[in-house]
Amino acid sequence: MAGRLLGLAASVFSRFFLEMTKTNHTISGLLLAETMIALTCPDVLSIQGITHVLQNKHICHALAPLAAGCFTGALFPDVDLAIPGLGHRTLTHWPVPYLIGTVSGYVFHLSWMLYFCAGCLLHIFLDSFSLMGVPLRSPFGKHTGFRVMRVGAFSETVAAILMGAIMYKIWILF
Amino acid sequence: MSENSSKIKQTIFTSAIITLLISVALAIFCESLVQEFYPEFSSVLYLSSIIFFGGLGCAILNRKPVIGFLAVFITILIPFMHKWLVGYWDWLRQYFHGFS
Repeated sequence: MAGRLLGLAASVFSRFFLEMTKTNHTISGLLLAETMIALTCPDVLSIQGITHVLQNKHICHALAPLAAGCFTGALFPDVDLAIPGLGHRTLTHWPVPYLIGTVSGYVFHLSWMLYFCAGCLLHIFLDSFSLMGVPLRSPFGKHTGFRVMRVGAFSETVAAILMGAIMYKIWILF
Repeated sequence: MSENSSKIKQTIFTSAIITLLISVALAIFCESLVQEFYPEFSSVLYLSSIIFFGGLGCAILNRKPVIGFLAVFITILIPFMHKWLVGYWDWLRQYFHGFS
């Protein structure tokens, strides 16, 4: 009985991760936001720090675009799934505009653009590990990448759990 | 059916453009009011972000990467244009003695 329940729980857990292919990107966006906050404002990543931020309007409003930019950026390239006629992993998965955006955001102090484009680049980097790859030379050209895992495979679930562990580790460190 | 859907799309697109224009106008003319609730708010940054995301959207919908590059370029240019205009406006006021 207990074995059956355990099996059922495992199947529900794995299906949840396998069917939600955006889970990895969501976790990666959170991880990027957390890392950026840890780098720019290390005192924030503690319970006292969060209370301080919530009480201080200026810090809260300064960190909001950072977190929002990283998170939306990590999910943005998959917008092509909602556009009929535009193939998946074509124009939105081409890293060149995001690279220009990241460098420009850093040079010209447009923090929201830097974080948003960094999130997009992280999404493309993670997608490059899948068998489908990502376009590098031209948006509608040949796909390249590391091609080590299938989308929705168990290895992706392992990657998601690993990223969650890294998030927890960063939280503990700072 | 296709005529209806194209009309709906056009209506949504037009209303989105009008909403964005109104929000930009409000951001420029009511900046101090918004800053009472959101101290870090800047109308210039807001305008540049609207152009950036709007440009990205246009580039994706039209399948033209050039529009995306152009959007990034204009986004970078807007804070500089604002600085230049502010400087020019001061010079204009001094030149015409009391023009405000």
